[in-house]
Amino acid sequence: MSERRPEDDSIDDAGVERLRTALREDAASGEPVDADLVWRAVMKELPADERRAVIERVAADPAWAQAWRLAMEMSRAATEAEAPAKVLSLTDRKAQGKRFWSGRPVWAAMAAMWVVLVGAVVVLRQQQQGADPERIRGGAAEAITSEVPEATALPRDRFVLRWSGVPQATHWSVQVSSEDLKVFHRVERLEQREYTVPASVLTELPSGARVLWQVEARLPDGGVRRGSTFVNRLQ
Amino acid sequence: MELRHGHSAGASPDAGLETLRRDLEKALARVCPPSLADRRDDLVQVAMMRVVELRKRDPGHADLSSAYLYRVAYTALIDELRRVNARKEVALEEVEQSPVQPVAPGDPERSAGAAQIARAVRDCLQGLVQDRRLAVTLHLQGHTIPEAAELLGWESKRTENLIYRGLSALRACLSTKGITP
Repeated sequence: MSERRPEDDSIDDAGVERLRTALREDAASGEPVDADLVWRAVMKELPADERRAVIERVAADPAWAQAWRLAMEMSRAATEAEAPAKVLSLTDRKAQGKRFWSGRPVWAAMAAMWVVLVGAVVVLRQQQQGADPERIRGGAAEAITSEVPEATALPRDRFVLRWSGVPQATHWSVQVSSEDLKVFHRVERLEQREYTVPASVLTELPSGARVLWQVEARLPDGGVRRGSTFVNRLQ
Repeated sequence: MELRHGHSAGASPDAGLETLRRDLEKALARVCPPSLADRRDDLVQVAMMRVVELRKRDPGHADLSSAYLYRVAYTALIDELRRVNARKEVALEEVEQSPVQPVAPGDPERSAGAAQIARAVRDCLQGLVQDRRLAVTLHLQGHTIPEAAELLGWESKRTENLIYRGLSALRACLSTKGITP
């Protein structure tokens, strides 16, 4: 008598592929899709419990499932488009540094000195020009300005962000990330130029952690103006 | 269009647009049902127009990251798909009253089979325990185990077990509907 193995009850890879094909070729329509929500779930910009709520809809609705697959494809393409400019992790940078410098002691020393010199000049020039060290990236810096003093560490229970600019904006979105650029909180449709980050979303961060925040202005014509990323420390 | 990052850096603005267009075409070819094959060019065009309009509207367009532009193109695509499906439903109602039946693009028999299986899968998924349903859903969407685990916020091992057990339950349910995956 042959013994029945547990894997006999599952679906093999070919079977899974057949089901995927059927789901893809199904032309059934479904409920209207909140494209922005699906995109943010796929990009992991939503908290895990909200992502799971979106996946529930994907399980039940063919339109949401199709939107999810499209978001997967497009987000992967977007990531590839941005990949060359991505900041290397510290480990990658160390490894790369090791490979580059090995066997080049004299050149290494000279180049290192040159880098330090150039760096010092750049920093000095920035300071002379009054460049904002708390401005990390983003472009419409003139448009949206932080009203939180940059050197101030904010308390967990009153992590209040304030900004100004873009007088024509109808409402605002705020995105908050940790130092490793992981978005851990986002809020939409704010009507005030002020937002208090809930203490509950800051619990994971240690005291002194740098919190990055970015504001998007929604314009009357549907356009979006993004501000620079500002940084404040957690008290 | 000038994408701030990526392989368009240093290239002409048109090169950035072309990359986005190619990615849109690829995504649609991989994701959309054959019945929409004849609409793909239109869908891509609408999404591209939205991106170009956005660029025109925002003089600081150089600040728009490629991630943001892909997101805009994606949103436009979903809006347009919704419109196409709505028009399809209206057209279907008109066709039902018409004596001449048009031929849909693709293989109608195959489409009907796919629709039947897809419906059965959705029904069966609803009968699974929630955690299994979520894990299997992502697996069927094409995610790897680590990707699914990260999206769900669970450990990889747990996610793998949920997928495995969920697929077993799905198979059992599908077989009661006469479907053998």
